[in-house]
Amino acid sequence: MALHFGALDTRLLQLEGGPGGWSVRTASIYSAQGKSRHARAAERVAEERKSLRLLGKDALIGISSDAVSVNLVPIDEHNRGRIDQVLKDTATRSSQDSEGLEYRYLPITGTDMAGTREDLLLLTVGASELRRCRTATESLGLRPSGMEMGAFPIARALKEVHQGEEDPWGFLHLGFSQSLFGVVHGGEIRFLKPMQLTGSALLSRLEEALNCTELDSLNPLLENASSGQENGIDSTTIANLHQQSVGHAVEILRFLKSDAELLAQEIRACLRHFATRNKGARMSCLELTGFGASLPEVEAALGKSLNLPVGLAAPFEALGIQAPSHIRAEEHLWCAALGLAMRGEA
Amino acid sequence: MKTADFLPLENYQLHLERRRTPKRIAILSVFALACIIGSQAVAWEATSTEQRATEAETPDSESLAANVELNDLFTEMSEYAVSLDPLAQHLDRPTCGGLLHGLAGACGTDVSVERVRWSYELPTNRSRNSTPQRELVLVVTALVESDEALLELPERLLEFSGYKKCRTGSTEVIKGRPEALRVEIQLRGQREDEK
Repeated sequence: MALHFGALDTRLLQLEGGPGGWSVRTASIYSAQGKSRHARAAERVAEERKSLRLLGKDALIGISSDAVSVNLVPIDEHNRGRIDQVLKDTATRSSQDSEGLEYRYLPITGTDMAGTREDLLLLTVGASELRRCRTATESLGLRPSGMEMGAFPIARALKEVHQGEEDPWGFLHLGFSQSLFGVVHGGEIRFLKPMQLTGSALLSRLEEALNCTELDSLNPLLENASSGQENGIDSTTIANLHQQSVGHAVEILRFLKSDAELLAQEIRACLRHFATRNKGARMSCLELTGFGASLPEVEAALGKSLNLPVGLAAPFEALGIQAPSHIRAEEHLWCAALGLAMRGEA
Repeated sequence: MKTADFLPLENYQLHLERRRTPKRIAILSVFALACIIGSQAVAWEATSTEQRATEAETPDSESLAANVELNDLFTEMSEYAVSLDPLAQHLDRPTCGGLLHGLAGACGTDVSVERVRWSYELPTNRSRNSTPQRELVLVVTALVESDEALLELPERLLEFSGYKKCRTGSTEVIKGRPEALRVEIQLRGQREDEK
């Protein structure tokens, strides 16, 4: 079973069947935030354990992206001999944890055109986060069998959707606390970088737009409308209210669109880096996942700015996985859990 | 897809091993099921063959009835056995009747057969380990009126009778007939056609 400890909620997913005929056996969400979210989620899972019909004891755990520091470490010929020290230093600089740090790395590109430089993806996570994930899982009587950062399961789930494609494709995970942009080519992650704009930042902008000064101009009209209920509403008031609300919505969308365009600029920079490292390879499409992916204007603005097909990830639909309606309604939020559940099969 | 797992690699490898185990159990179960089905088929075949053999060996009602009737007949016959046995005694005698018919002619001229006696005897020179086998002894007593006939008589009798051995036994001069001699020829063994 897949147990993904996200920043806002913990998702539990278990599939049954096999490649070509998957279906969701169990899927549930437990809202929990903060550092104690693992334990709280585990308590709630324990309460519902019997009704969940879980099969087996092996759990593949997903760590929230915000708990993991992601760094691209270029290894040149001159520092290849002290690669361990370079990685350790980078990991120590990138994160802090009183219980210590754990880091893993994997090469994401081959040597560059000169054959002298290699990019390593360094992932650093605090030991306390790992302990919390492990303890929460073990408290449920489950065996932790794997523990991955969210980006890898997401890429794995979407990789199945893009099976057979030769061109590289990308995914943008707009999580609440952290957003990540990754490029997958040849079935492997070739680029992964945290983005500056996160889901929470988008939400703040939206909130800012809602609380902007122009909203104050609506208040008298709304008061008129409320008081006019008894004596009949003035048609002029309704027209004004409608006009003002439309204008306000447009303003909100403009806020979001400008943010999405900022995000697109950042992605373009990443793509330039990717192209130089991969002999001018161009990304064929971009899949959006995570909390911020479904916000209005994000998809359209990114598509327009990047001049690429951009779409909300829907792996369950694309892979023909039979799933309940609540999963189908927000497939882009289930990508990490799906990728974890498909590990070893995909 | 390559990934960065923050748990030791052994955990995931054990997980994969556990995932394979049900598949292995399923394969073994299918194999065991196939074996059971195979053994059941062999057992069924053996049972049906045994049944056929039993049915083949079991006499049918007609033969059982005939057997009972036969037993009744033997029981009935046994009551008359005491009176019937002497009638069958001759069946135990040697069958030399055929010889008597031409014996006189076979001896040739100047020979007249006086007496013929036959009996079964055990051979005297048999080996200790061999199974005793009765020999037929045919004793012919004849009057011979010439020396030539006397010398030829054993050969003639052997040739005629087909016995293996021939021995000239006692000879006796007859009073009042100086040209005649009573001779006893003993033939032993079985005739070729009686073996």
